[in-house]
Amino acid sequence: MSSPEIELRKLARNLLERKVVDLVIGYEDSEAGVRPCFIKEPGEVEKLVWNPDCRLSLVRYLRGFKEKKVGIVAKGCDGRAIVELIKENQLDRKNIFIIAVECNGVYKPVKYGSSKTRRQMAEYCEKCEVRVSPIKDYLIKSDEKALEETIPKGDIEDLDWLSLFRKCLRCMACVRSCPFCYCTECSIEGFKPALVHRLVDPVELFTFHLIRAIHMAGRCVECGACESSCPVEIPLTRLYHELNEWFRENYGYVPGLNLEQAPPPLVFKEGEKP
Amino acid sequence: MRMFSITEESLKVFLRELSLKHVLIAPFERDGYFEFDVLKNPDVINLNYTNTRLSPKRFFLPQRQLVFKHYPRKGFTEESKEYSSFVLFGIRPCDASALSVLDNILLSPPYKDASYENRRKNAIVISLSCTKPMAECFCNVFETGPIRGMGEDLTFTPTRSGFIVEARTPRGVSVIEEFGKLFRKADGEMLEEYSRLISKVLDEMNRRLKVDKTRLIRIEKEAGEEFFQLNAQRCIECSLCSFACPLCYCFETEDCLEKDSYVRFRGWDTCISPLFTRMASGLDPRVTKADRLCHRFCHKLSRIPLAFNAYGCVGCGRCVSLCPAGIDIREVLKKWG
Amino acid sequence: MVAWKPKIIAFTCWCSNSGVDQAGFEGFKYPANVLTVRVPCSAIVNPSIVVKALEEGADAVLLTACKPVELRKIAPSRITEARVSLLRRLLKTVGVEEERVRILWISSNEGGVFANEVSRIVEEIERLGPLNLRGRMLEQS
Repeated sequence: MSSPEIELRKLARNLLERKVVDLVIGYEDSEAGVRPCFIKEPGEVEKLVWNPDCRLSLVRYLRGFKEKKVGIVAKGCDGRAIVELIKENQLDRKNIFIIAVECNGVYKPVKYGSSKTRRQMAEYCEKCEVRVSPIKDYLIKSDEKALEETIPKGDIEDLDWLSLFRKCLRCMACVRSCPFCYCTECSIEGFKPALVHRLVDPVELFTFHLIRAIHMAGRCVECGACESSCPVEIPLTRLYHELNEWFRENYGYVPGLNLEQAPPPLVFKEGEKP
Repeated sequence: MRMFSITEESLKVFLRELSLKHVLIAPFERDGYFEFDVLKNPDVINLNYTNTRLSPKRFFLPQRQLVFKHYPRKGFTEESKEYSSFVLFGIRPCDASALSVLDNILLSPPYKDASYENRRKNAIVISLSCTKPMAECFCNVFETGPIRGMGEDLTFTPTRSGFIVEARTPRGVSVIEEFGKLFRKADGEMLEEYSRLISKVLDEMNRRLKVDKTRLIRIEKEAGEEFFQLNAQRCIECSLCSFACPLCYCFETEDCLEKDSYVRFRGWDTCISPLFTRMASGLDPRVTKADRLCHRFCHKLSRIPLAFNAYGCVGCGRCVSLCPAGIDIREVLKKWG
Repeated sequence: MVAWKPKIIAFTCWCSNSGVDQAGFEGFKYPANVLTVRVPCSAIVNPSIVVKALEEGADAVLLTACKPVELRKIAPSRITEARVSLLRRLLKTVGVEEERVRILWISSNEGGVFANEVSRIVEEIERLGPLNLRGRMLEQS
């Protein structure tokens, strides 16, 4: 058991015993793999783990606990998501106790029936520049060395996006696991008047993914929840990264770095170039 | 005697000849994973796989299908009753058993699902036994594998010298007769190897998970929503479990107005969706996630057995592997089985 | 077999639409395969709608907007510019030519400019070829 885990459990027990928080959202191990867990009693903190399989962003669960005080285990990308959600008025800073863990990357998930034997680092971790959450109430530093180097990926231009979109099932796992997809009626789920039909139409898979990308542009913190939930492994994070680059180049804006920097679509500055 | 054998070379010939007579759907490899699709060239078939990510149910229950189309002056057209015959080769016994369960549910009188019946009638289903189950597999619990399933016409089991072939239905027998020169009667040595294989793989799986499935019926009466609360908290209501499941059959319909016609489609839905039981009044008998998860497990493990004499789960393990939030039906089985 | 003609959708804002109308009754010739959709302001056009238009069969989508000389019109025109720029970047990434979506700055008296620009654009799209998104999404690999 690594020392970040020991520290995490001690902290969680402390927070729950002193009633600083009503519950702690973290990761637990199970036969099905590492998965989210919700701990209310100090005695349950032994379930908490922290390892490179702690992949799914937990920030998505905060929207179900808006009235409660919640402690959450947050990697760098998760912390950025919390910052950006606070700016979008979706979360209240004072109700969240952010347990920032230093992250060295997570493993790419291996889905049912894979013939791959070698685990590798998730693609979205390779470009990561924010290993620790920019806002925190407690910091747990890592004591492991970074994961071994991965197989290098091709440039984004090399992917045939249209054939990747064709594999999509419209399962909505990407939308449901995303911290930023909090709309109660999603615009690409088929609610009438519909941009795309509710039942999958192969041609509309193009529209579905492009509209999602437009909605993610400038907000996506590249946590990879969408990509790791996707059953057919469409590398969505790479697509949203391209649009985030557009924001970086044109406005110098990177989502989730600090609470003061306003998202460009919300402000108008005289003389600013588009 | 319904046990035959076939060599690997003869199998290649068999597949080639089948593809000339019928549409051949078989597994092939793409990007490190396997999937089923119509194959024009049987040489790309790859049988060295554990299982496909998506189940073959989409060939019988398509993800979206036309129910009818109505033209203002011409009237209705429905899905064609003629469906070309196809061979589904190489599916795993769990997936084949799912078809047998679906037969119990969708083809029981007095209301038969016409489009499912049509496709099922025209399909020859040939399964391929599993000799190396995956970590997520638990077909032994529901007796849907690993060697013999329930819904196939022929079962192919790999052995040292080729395959043992068991004809399971009259249609399977007629396929053997049609390609008689490629098949031989299975000899005693092969049959011994076969029964050794069955016990070896079953023992391995029983060591991993052994559950008395008949005790699952009590889930309905004895499990309250509190039991499912923990899983409900982590469920993200996506729909992957229902889409990947080889026998989830719930559907929704969608009506669309197109340029020249009015169309009704039918396609996959999930009981996990918050809209599934919501009524026009706004009332919803399953308004919480715990309600819906409770329904999912009770339906599969208790209500389907009581109503249709078959279990609503075949132990393929897809939902366990693909659920982004790690919800595991095996935990339910261990607790209530 | 009918030779393919590009199908172009133009979302024209109220002001620039006067220019488009003017092109019509002053007799400026522009190709007939441009279908105009009048909107109160170019900033009301959601990029999702442009994507939908491309999916439904448009080979190109134009947004005509009036030039931002008046202060009250600067913010909306910036919004439109930003959206189109973002959308072009997205289209380029997924393998659709970014020239298929663009803005034309047309004032209410610039019918001639509209006609010339559109003729030029139609030529360009003819060279690029049909988008045929429907065909590309339905093709089997």
